[in-house]
Amino acid sequence: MPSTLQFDPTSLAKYGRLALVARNAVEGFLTGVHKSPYKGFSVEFAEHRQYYHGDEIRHIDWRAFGKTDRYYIKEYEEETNLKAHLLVDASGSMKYQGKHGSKFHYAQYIAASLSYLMLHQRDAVGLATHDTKIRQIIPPKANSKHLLRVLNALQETEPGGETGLAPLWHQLAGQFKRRGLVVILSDCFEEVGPLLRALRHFRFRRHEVLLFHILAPEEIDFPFKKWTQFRDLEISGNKMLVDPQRLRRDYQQNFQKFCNDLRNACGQAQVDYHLMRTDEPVDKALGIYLTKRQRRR
Amino acid sequence: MFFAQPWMLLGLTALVIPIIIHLLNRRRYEIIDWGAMQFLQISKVTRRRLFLEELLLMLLRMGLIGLLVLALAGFFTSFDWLARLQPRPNRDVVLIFDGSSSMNYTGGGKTPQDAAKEWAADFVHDLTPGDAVAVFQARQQVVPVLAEPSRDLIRLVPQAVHDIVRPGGGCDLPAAVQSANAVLGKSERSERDIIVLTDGQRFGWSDPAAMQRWEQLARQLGAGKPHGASGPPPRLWVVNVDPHRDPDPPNWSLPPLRVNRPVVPVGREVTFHTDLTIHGQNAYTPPYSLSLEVDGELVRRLEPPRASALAKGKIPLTFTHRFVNEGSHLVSLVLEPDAPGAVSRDTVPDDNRQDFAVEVTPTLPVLIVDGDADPAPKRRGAWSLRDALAPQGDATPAVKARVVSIKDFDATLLTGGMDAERPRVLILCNAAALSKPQDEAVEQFLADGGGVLTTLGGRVDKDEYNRQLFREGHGWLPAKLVSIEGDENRPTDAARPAAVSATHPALELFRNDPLGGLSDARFSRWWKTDVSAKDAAGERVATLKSPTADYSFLVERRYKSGRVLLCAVALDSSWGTNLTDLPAFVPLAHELVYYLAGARSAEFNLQPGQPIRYRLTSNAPPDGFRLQPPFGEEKPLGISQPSPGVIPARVTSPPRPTLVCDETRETGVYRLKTPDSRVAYYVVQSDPRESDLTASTDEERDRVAKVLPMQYQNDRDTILAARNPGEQRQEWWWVLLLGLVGLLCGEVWMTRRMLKAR
Repeated sequence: MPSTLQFDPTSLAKYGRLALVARNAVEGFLTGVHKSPYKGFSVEFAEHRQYYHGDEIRHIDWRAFGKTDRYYIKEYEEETNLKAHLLVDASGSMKYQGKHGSKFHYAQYIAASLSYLMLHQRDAVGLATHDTKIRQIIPPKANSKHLLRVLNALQETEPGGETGLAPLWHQLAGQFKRRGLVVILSDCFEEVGPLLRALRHFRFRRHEVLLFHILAPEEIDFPFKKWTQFRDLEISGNKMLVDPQRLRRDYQQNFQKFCNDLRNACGQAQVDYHLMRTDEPVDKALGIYLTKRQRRR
Repeated sequence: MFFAQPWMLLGLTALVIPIIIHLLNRRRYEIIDWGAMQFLQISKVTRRRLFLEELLLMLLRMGLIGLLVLALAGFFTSFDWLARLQPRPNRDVVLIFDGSSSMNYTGGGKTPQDAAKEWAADFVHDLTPGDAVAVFQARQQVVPVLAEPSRDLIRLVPQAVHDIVRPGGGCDLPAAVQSANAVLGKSERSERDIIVLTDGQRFGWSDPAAMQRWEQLARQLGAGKPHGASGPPPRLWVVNVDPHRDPDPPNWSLPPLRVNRPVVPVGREVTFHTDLTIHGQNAYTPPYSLSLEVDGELVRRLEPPRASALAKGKIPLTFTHRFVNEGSHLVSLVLEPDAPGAVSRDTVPDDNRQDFAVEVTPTLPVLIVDGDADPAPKRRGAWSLRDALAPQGDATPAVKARVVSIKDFDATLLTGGMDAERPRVLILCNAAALSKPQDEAVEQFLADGGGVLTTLGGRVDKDEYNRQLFREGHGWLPAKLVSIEGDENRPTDAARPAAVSATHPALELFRNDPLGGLSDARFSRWWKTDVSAKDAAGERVATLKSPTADYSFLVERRYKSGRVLLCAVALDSSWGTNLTDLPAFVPLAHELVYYLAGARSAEFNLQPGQPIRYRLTSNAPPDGFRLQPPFGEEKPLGISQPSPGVIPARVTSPPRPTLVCDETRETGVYRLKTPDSRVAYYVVQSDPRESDLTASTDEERDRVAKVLPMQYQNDRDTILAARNPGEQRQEWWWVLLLGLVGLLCGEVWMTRRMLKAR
């Protein structure tokens, strides 16, 4: 764990004009870039329309009247605030450190970047770190000072302990009363069935769920050649001496099946699944994701 | 189960290498803290499969090493049932035909030679393709009919068997076996056979001389290992192609002729001696006829001896003849034991004829070197010898004697002039010493086949003789001079020639010593010579008896191509001897001279293999010479390059240009025709013992087999089926190597399969 959070706000500057667009519009009261289904008279001008009888006179654009000698009503897109909950998996398996750093660090970067981005857009961001139980939970807030708190919480978190995602997600789903955006950063090394039920719980609470499936390239490719003793990062004393070359095919079959199952489960639960490899730059990964979201808007 | 190289089994320790590598791999592992542990969990089936694959691969690699080690260790088994299943390995065979005249035995229908050819033809026919056969004929020299083993069992080998010439003379079977061993020593095959096809005759197989040869051969084979360092020695089979022959069949024969004078004067009577040798019969009845032929022409029929009792199976036979023409002549005695149509008392006709080549000269040139420096010729001591050999007043002397003083003696007297005028005999009469050129001239004369008679008298310088002429046995003088014995003032102590043993041809005339003969001679003084010393090169051929001891009278030595006789007295009237007054003196002088002149005549009656030597009169290339061997056509002699239809010959220069032909393996008469159409006869004489057809007893055969391991076996199938004990074993190295290749392929396949699975 580095002493300071390696979070470079400038790296996100280029994404400042990008909009994190929720697949479904979420109502909120903080003005942001999220489009509200209700057009109103808030901050951002949307369009002019002809004045009809019954419209309030205060909405008439007198400047346009002065130029055109016609009555136009100014319409604004009403920006809503977004409550985003960042759930960061801090279990022992996230501590795996391949060539490109640990998965937990990678999750930290993503969480910090998203926090900054969201707060920059005046969305409320909350944070929950956990292993088998919740380590720390920060309720969502949208003020600029909140970023520092989130970042401090991320920085102070040390990964460790066993993974127990599904019960914990159920617990959090119960706690998040108001619907919002739940961003999950985890390797999800757990049985897919319980995970699916937990995700469905979020969706039942009408949360938009983004699942960043964070994996190290080594976990995907299993490139080891020499005899290797794999020591469990979560359960002390659990180790296995294997010839990786002999085991690779079976491992990859197991792993691919797990990923496919998880992806399918996310599809079933209408959860945005995104595989994040730790060898991909964080900003690039976010960019790809946000661009993709924007295209789907 | 055995191993040819058991020490290679130490390589089996390498079997642990795959295990060690496996264990080392497991020990040298990396440690990784890993999160996705649940994906490392594989099913039991997969785990078992992986374990089995690992185990199988390791066993494959161990098997590779094991098979390699076993193959290198030469793993073999010795199961009889497996040996029977195996095809008989190819073999190299040398067939040795007994080439002695006994193979022409006619008492049993077909001759043993024909039976041997038949046996060999059937044997070759039964050989398998790939077998190789060489063919030798064992005569008195080994004749390689097919020198190297040939695999052409259809044409070449049967032709070689067919081409074997008619046997004749004796045979040297041990030499043939030795040659066959040398041939098979070059063979790489483990199955090698030497098959001797013989008739079971004792002579040549188990007689004392043959036993000595076998023992010598056994020692050579044991020490030199000519059969090759690897593999067992060749099997030696002895096939009796005439097993039902009478153990002592009847046979008449003539041993080689002997003559008292090898050099015969024209018009002088020459006596020939031989015997009628009769085997297998106890009583003698005269033969049907005895014929004397000269140069192939019948001269006369001889009266057969009338003896009634057989002495050791021999009837002595003597006849005389006078030659009217000089030159080379062939004397042949032909025996016909049985009248035509009569019951045969003779089963081997080949030994009923004897030939002898004689050289007839008009006069015999003799050079007498007198050691007396007295200028008055009549007082020279050598004069008595000259008078004895060529009396003055004899218009046609048999000997042309010339006397020179020791001072005038030089090499030109021995080598100068026409060939007919060159002396055949040199007599050194009581010379004090020879100068070095004179000594060298004598040596050269001897090398050219001359004869030298050295008489010792009072002038002889003992020290000079011993130092220069004897040279501790390396010089031409036959014996070392010790001292002058006797006293002229004490005639009672005089020495006299002892009774002649008569075995020596030069003294045969004096065997039945008449009155006034040689034994009446008295010598008051004589030289004592030492023939018993280690370095003595000569042999005493006549003895002087004094009242106190025996001394050498005549000592003989062969030196190079010549002969030397050393006489202990001066052969003149000095020292008060009565020899010159005795009637025996003149015959003695003639006999000694003719005997010494015969040194060269031994070149006309040869042993098998001994070369024909013809003295050329000039250094010009000897073109136009032709030779007719005993069998076959007359062919030209080829000097330069060997070519078909030409008998190879060569020319040796020192001391005189001589035409030499080595092709004298066959016994019989060789006729050398000179460019001027003269004929020189050469006779290669057969061994008379070959006429004794007595068969070897079982005990004698076993004795030979103990000396040199061999098997007496007449059954062809047994010989064909024989294998070396070492061949009963089955070599498995090739199977192991095949297995090794198979395992290697399996290992590669499995490794690739496992790599693909990764």
